[in-house]
Amino acid sequence: MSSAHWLHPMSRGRLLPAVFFSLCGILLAAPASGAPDYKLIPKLQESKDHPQAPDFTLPDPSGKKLSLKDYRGKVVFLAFWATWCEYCREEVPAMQSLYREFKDKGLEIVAVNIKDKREDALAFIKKNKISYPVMMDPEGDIGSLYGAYATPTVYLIDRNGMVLARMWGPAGWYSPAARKLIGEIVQQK
Amino acid sequence: MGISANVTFSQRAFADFLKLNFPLLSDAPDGKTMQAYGIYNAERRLAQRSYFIVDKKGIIRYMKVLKQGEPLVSNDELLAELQKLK
Repeated sequence: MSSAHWLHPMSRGRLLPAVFFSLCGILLAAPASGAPDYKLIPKLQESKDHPQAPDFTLPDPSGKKLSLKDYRGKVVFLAFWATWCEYCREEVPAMQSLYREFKDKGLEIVAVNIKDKREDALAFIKKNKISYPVMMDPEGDIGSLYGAYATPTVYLIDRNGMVLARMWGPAGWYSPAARKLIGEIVQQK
Repeated sequence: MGISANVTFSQRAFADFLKLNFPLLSDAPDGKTMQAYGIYNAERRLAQRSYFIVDKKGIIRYMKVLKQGEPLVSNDELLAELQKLK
């Protein structure tokens, strides 16, 4: 079956030019030089000067120390969350899907659990089979450093450890727009 | 302007989050300015919540250092103090 099987046979001749020009329009509307289009995610704030993301070290649930700099060379989706945050809980399936799709393309999701009861966080991680790294920040010190005044707070960090964008509040992290944006970011060298 | 012991990265996040229209300055890492004003808590490495109004000649005309748990000074009180300088 042809790839255009969903088109009526009589329509193909007239539609193809239209499709061609539509594609041209999309290409022209895309940001120059393949730069990620951060406007794909409403309320995502692009960083204008790309500051260095401050390094930090925190234990994972087993007590093993992890540092942000351990992920240098990867695009980091740094998420500040807590089990008492409803939006954070709701975002987990989308983040898991995003991680599965882009992990092998250079994305690392690092989730910093802030101001939570340890037993609540551990139970949530186990129940939801969270597969990306989680760091424990019970006092919220690193959350304060990153201005996680609202949860969830997400930072997108490039392979060199520079902040690309920041988001306060929820987003559809496995929406077509989000997948397009993350795809654009991981493609950047 | 606001001054705290936070690093500039945090200051910027705070200013962006609250959409502040005045500058935030970082007195990290040693808190020299806070020490000069006598409001530095060295143990916790942060400032006591405090307010200073400095006139055009650089003279402190109003100063209020809050104790732990003390309510913030109201905008009305601060504006009244500013009015006195006119």
